[in-house]
Parts: sequence; C-alpha cells; structure tokens
Amino acid sequence: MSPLLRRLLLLPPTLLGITLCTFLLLHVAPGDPAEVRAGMGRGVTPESIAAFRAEYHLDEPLATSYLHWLARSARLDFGRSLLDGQPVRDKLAAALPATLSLALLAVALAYLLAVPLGCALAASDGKRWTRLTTSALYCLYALPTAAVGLAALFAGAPYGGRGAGVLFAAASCLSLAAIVKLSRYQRGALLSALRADWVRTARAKGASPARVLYRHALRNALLPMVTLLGAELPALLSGSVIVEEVFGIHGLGLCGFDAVLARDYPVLLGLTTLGAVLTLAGVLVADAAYGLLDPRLRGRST
Amino acid sequence: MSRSWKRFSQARGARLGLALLGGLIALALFADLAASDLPLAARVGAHLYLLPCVTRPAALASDDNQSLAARLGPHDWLLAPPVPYGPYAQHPGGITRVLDPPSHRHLLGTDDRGRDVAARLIHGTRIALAVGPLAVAIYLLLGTLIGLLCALGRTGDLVLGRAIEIGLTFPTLFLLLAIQGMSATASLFEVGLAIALTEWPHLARLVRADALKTMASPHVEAARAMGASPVRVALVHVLPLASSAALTTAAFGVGQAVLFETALTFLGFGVPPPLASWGELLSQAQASGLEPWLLVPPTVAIALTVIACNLVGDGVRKMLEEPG
Repeated sequence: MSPLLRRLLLLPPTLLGITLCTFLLLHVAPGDPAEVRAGMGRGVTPESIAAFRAEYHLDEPLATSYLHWLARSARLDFGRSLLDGQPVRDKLAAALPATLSLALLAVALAYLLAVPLGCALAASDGKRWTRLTTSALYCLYALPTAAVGLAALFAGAPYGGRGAGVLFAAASCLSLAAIVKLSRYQRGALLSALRADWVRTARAKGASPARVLYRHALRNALLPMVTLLGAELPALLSGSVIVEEVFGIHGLGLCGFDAVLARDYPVLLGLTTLGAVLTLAGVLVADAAYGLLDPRLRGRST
Repeated sequence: MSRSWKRFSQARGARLGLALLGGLIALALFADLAASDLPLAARVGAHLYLLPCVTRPAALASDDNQSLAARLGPHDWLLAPPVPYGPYAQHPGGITRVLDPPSHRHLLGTDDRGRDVAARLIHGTRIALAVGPLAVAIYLLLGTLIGLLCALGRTGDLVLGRAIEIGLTFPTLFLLLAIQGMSATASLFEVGLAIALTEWPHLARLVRADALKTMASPHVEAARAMGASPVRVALVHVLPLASSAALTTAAFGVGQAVLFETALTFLGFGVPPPLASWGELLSQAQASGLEPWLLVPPTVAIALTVIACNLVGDGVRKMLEEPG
C-alpha cells in the first residue's frame, strides 16, 4: 500500500475521532444551568440554550445525539448560532477566506524567506555574520506573536478592514516563528547534505561549487522541508487567532474568539470540524508533495 | 556528572541560559523583596518591623511605603524595596496616576488602573515560572505514558496512534472553552492543563518513535525471553533509552509554555485578573492605544525567559546526544 493511500484511509477515523471528542465536550459542557448562566450576557438566553439542546438531541443518550449531529454535519448543516440565529455555515463561509489567505500568505512568506536564508547560513557556515544572524534569529523566535503584532501596529502598520496591507502585515507577524524554525531546519539539512558521501564524490569528479550546492546538496536538503509544511499548518491556524485579534481581521480566529466568549456552541462545533478538515488537508497535501518531489518514492509501495 | 556537565556546557550559551533562568527563578522567589507596597524594614512609632513586605502585619494593613514615609517620626526610619509599589496597589499614597509614562516615581510607568508596571512585571515572573513548569510536568507524564503504551502492542498502537493524531489536529480554542466550562473558576492550574492538553501529542509522537526503536533492540528481547512482564520491559528496559526526547522537550517546553500562557492571557482566556501576568500587560498595551512602556517591558521579559529556556534546552540536548 502506498503511503499516500494509507494516509487517505486513516483520514476518516481521525476526523470521526475529532468530532466525537468535540461532541463529548459539548455534551458535558453546557449541562450545568449555573454555568450556562455564567456564560450568558452576550445575547445567549436560557431559551436559546434549551432550543439548542433540543435541536442537537443533547438530552438523549450520547450515541443517539452524536449520530443525529453526524447526519446533519454530513449535509454541511451545522445549525444556527446561539448569538444571532445566523446559520453557522454562512458564518464560517464568511470568515474562511480571510483566514485561508492569511495562512497561505504566511506559508508562502515563510518558505520564500526561510529557504534562501537557511541556504545562505549553511553555505557560509562559521563566518561572523552567520553567527550574528543565527543569534538574531534565536532572539526573534522567543518573541510572543502578540507583541510583534502590536509593535508592527505601533510602527504604523494598517489596522482592520480587508485591505492587502493589513493582510500582509498580519501574515508577516504570523510567519515570523515559522521563518526562524524553517531556516534553522534548512540550514541543518543542507549542512548534513554537504557532508554526505555523494557530495564528496561530486566534488572529486570536479563539479563546480555552485553545481554541488544547488544540484547535489540542495535538492536533497529541500525534501524534509516539505514534510514540515504539514506540521506548520496547525500552528499557523491557531496562531491566526492572535494575529486576527491584533489586526482586527474578521477570520475564523476572531469568529472562534467571539464564540468562546459568548459560549456559542454550534459555532464552536462547526469551527472545530472545519479546523480539523483544514489541518488534515494540509498534512495530506504535504505528503502528496513529498511523494511527487522525491523520485525515489514515486510509485514505490511500502 | 562532571562529564554530563562538560557536554552540557559545550552547547553555546547553555551556561548563560542556566544563569539567566536561575536569576529569573530567584526573582520569582523573592518578588516580594524586589517590589512591594510595604518596606523591607521600618521603625514606625517605636515599633520595629522586619520584612513587613513578606509578613504583612495587621498593624500596617492600611499603609504603604508612601503613607508610612509621610508620617515618620524623628527617630523613625524606613527601608523601601527597590520598587516601592505592590503589583495590586492601585493608588499608592492615595494618588491615582493612570497610564503615567515612565518617570523617577514609576520607573516603567503605570497601567490603566494606576498600578506600577515594574512591580507587575516582577511579580509576573511568578506566574510565568509557575504555569510553564506545571504545564510541562503534566504533558511530560501524559506524553511519555501514551508514547510508551504505543510501543507495547500493535492494537494499542493503532488506537493510541489515532489518539495522538487527533490530539495534534485538535483546535486549541475549543479545548480551552471546555476546560473553562467544566470548572467554575479559572485558575493557574487550568491554564497549565489547557497548555498540557494541546502539547502532549507532540511529545507522545517522539517518545513512541524512540520506544519503538528500543523495543527492537537485543536487550529488550533478552529481557522478554527471561520472562519480564510487559510493564517491567516498558519501565526498566525501554523508558530509560526512550526518555531523551522527553527530557529535551521538558527544557524547551517551559519556554513554549510561557509563550502559550502569554498568548492565552492576552486573548483573555488565561490567568484571571487581578494576577500580574506578562500577557495581561500586553493586552493592556493593546487596549491603551499602544503605549510603549506597556508593550516593551513584558516583551523583553517574555523573550528573556524563552531564550533562557531554549539555551538550557540546547545544553540538555547536547548532554543527551550520543558521544561521537
């Protein structure tokens, strides 16, 4: 069985598990009336909670209510928001483009900057400026995203709305940690590739330093970077909550933030499912890209 | 021991990181001596008070450094802490100064409730260094246990492997809500638990990989042939060889947990007010229209803590690396 097929087959159980966990939490969370009262204030009334519990069959056994929910979700019907009665699907659809473009822009920025940076650091390893740059990156990695975003705003970055400037500023802040992490991996991978036997052979055969670097070492060192894409996506998606809050972008993160504050359970449930689908899709894309890029893995079955 | 220390020090900056972390821990332990609204020692009206900033005597309950200084008699004296304000004192000396820029009176200015930023910064070390290790301790236990269980049997691996994958993709925000929803009050413990519940799958994956590798080695086979129980195999023969990922993660994890706590508190889901947290200072910086004295100090404090933890982490990794 090819690794990709294996992944595809394992996808449904994972997704089911995530929804089941969320549903379990939901089942226990709004049960206590005192606690529901504590969560009110922002337009969530006992009536809407009662209607919500009836709609989701929350007072029936867990299995029944889960199956009810699953059947509805399969038709992409996530119910209505407790806050304003809007269908959750519409809310999510309105917020998705902002978050998606934010995450994609951040990924693009991270790779476009980190790969050349990592290569430059590896190619001139041991020089003074590389050591300084490495230390600077080390310090950047320790900065909280919120502080970076606020500093950007302080420096005059635009706030709010749907402009390209806001999106770019937010994506830069979001990608900062990923840039440091990826460039460190790239540097390490390239350094170990440069020490490999085949690179020595290529050098001995008289290949130019540039050819050795780009043709022999870099192609091998780029591969692990692709798998990291899968690992970075969940971090970027949850990091976007902070960036959206700081820059006032109405995406999934801000949507979830408001939903948590108001205990808007249907929105949260839909959001969790959507987040899981997005993350799993990202991992799958990374796996597929890995298979495509590495000729050794093409068509091989394990 | 000395060989471990030697290898630890080989990592660049590891000793610096350890010193920095030690300093931060000392600051957290002695925060009441560094910043308090009561003096370190004072003689007021023939009464000698030693360390009232720690003991908080009832006689001085309605006093602070400023009011005491104002009513000192001819033979009285007062030794104030370096930062003569407490983290919660809103109107020291009865004067309200809201969002005061840094001055000789308040070295780092005041926040939107007139509290001294330097005092809140110093006391914030306590929160950061309490939540970070707490979170790491919880997920170290959870991640190692599940990782080990994965390595023990095929069915366990199939089920728990899914659990790890679910954990890796589970949205953090929802988890937080659930934890907050299930208990009446938000506390440090819940913040730590929330961080731990989102971080354990990463560790479990690493421990699982190491444990699976170790399971295939001859000494495990020998132990099994001698009739060792699976529990004994796991704990005595596999765990010591599969724990390097856990130990390295522990060091780096504290820094990451501090960042996580900051982010949560910044969003308003973390440490409850009025506790002095660095993330709370950042959210004040946002709410107050980006006053630099509310933005820069917590950022520097967080960065220093994270850098210290990461440097120590580098050292630990070097120490556990197989020589050669």
